[in-house]
Amino acid sequence: MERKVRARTESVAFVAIIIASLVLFNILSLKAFGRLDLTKRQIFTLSDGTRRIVRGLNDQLTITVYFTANQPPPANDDERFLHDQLDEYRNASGGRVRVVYVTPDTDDRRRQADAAGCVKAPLQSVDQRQEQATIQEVYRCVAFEYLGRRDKLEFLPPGVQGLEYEISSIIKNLALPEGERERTIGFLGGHGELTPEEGLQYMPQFIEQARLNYRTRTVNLNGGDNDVPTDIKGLIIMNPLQRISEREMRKLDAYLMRGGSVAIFGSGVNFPATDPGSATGTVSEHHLNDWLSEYGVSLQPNVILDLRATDAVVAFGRYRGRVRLVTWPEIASFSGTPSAQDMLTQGGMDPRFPVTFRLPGFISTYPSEIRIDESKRRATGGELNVFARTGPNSILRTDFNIDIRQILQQGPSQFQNAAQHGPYAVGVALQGPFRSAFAGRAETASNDAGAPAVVAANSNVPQRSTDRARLMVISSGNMFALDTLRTLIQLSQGQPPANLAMLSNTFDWMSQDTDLLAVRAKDTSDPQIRADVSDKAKQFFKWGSIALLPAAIGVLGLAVLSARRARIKDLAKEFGPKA
Amino acid sequence: MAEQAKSTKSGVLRGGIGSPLANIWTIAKREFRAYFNGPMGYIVVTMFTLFVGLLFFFLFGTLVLRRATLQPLFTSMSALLPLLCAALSMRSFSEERQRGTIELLITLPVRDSDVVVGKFLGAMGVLFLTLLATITYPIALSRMGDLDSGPVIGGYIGILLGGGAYIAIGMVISSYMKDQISSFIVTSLLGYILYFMDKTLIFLPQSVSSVLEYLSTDFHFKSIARGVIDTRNLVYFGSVITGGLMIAARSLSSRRWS
Repeated sequence: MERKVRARTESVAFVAIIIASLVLFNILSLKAFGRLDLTKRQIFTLSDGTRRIVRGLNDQLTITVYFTANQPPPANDDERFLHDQLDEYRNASGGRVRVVYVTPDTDDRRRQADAAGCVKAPLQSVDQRQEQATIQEVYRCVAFEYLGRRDKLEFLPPGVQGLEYEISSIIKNLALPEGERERTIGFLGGHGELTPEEGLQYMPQFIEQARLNYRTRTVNLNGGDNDVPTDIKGLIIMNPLQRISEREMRKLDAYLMRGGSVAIFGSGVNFPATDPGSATGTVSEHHLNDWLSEYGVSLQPNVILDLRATDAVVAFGRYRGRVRLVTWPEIASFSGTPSAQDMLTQGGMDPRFPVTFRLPGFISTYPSEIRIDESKRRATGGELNVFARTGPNSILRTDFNIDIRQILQQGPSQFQNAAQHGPYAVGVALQGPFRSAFAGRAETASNDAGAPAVVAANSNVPQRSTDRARLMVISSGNMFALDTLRTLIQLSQGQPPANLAMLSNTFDWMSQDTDLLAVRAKDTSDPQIRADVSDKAKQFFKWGSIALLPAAIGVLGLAVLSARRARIKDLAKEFGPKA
Repeated sequence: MAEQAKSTKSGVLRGGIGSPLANIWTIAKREFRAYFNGPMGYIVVTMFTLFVGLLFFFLFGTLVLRRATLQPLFTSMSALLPLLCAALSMRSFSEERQRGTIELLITLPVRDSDVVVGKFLGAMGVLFLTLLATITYPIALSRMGDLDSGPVIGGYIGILLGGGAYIAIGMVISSYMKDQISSFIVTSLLGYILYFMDKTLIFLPQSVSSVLEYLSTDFHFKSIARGVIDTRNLVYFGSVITGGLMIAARSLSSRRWS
């Protein structure tokens, strides 16, 4: 009896010691741990750009997360990702980053979240079996504080795409001295372009309302006498109407070669009106192709009409009617991340590219085709990304008297049965390093009414760009014009147009560090099943897995057990008692 | 000595103590075969693959959503794992007791820890074989899209570790229970308590919820299944497995004394 009691006591003590040791071991493992990210795109590993930013912090940065627990799926998965990502920030910072988690489940905590500027927003969850949708109001907010400066992500939309970029951008901004926080974006003027003074008058208000840390300024090259200023973070050329001289192009190119960013919004055909119903265009006279064609990119003298467009009520004289706006193609987003093949066959936009990042799509007004000359492209170098294409039912038109009523009267078959059809490229970007468009080319004297050749003056221009150089071309000149935006707001019944979000993305793309842009392009979404996989193959996979696989295992089991039973019977017959 | 450790045809150890590894290997092989000597092993693997398939295609609608990911497969497996592992571990000691062979087992000239580890590896072998049957999923899906191999590897490692944890717990329960059914019920119940632990945190204060979240098997599994091998998750699963096996061995030893 005594032995039994002693044994039991020893057992209890043994179990207690084991549990205590293991608990201690687990606590220690929380202090010192390592991670191995097996994902192809290193989704859960901070990029070098982010590491550099957090290592550069001189003081304590406090990140406070206000996240409602148990959010409807799939939004509930994001909390874990955010948690892990912030752990990575903390580890990379060497103690400079402190992370505080607040679950806003009491009135006090909710008040705390509200005081931090967080926004409570509804999330919808769908019960497919009961065919019911329920709405839950949740907090998904991250607040930052560094040296008394504050910023926040007031509501993280579901999905973790680009989260690292957003967090790192805020940290970088907070860490910058006050004077450096505001960056300047230039708009080229002097050729009838859209500038903050002419056609983009909403710009200061937009920048203020969207709380963008940017200033804008119009840049005039004065026929090539002036250089592009070096203090601007990027230069936008928007819908130029008049010729840009070679001397000016050389200045633009020199800016690019020194690591500048240039974004061109211009078409091969100029449509002065911003009316989607009817317009008359003329071939553009900006001569940008003289420059761009050296990079293997050219704006074609045509206009793309596309069935992939929004329906809208348009006035035709005294009448109004609902029509498909084939003159203003919608460059649609994919539900996931498209493969290169999907982009080629389906069109749409690449959500990985920083300018089209997190956009639901955008409207291009009277776009023209961007043609790519592969041989020139290869000779120039750099990395070209075609990030926007029209839909597969888009056609080219070289008659520029557009009347949408007449076009639609011919029916959809002109799009669906066209011998030549899209997708056509309408947005491309070239990332350095690449060779200058003017490398080894002497300046022609004829460009500026008798101006002398100034080859010697350009001798200090690099013949090859740095890797920071970025050139983007979107073949729609008026998509940000005030009148266009007004029309888009009317069409979307008061909703802010996605084109505006694209403009702020463009500012970021031009001004941001290369390694931080790479963070934004990091794709965290699930890959998609290819569009060309047949339904037959999918059904075979489905029923093969549900029925064939278990049935095969069952049949195998039956066969093995029957054989075994038969063997035992034989053995019993052979060695068993004889009758 | 090595000869002594060799098993007979029926797998029962003969003679004195061999090298621990040889003993463990012999016991593991015997255990593994025992699952497939009757219908039990086949039924378990068949039912598991059937339910995983139903959940993957109907509940998560993977093909409808066009996602080339196996995350729903591992989520389904993880939800069924407590049941599968309870079925695999229930027989480890309870069956020996029911058949009256436990006395024979504890009087064998091998260490208790060798018996426990051998039985554990036998059950793990069956789990491994079950997972091997699902290899058709990543093969098929990788032909349909750009499947990321990281989360697939992570998912399988996570299931093996999670399964190991449930089996170790099941062996502790089995070492104390007399019949297999009770052992199955208690193990599945405990398994699901650990599985759901991180899903009920909303009702608890934050200080308690973080501890419970850490104790949840699914919390650690999800982390690994994303394709991230984190030492914290490995330590957690390693601790549950080691602790479970040590307690089971102790339970076996205490039988010898009583």
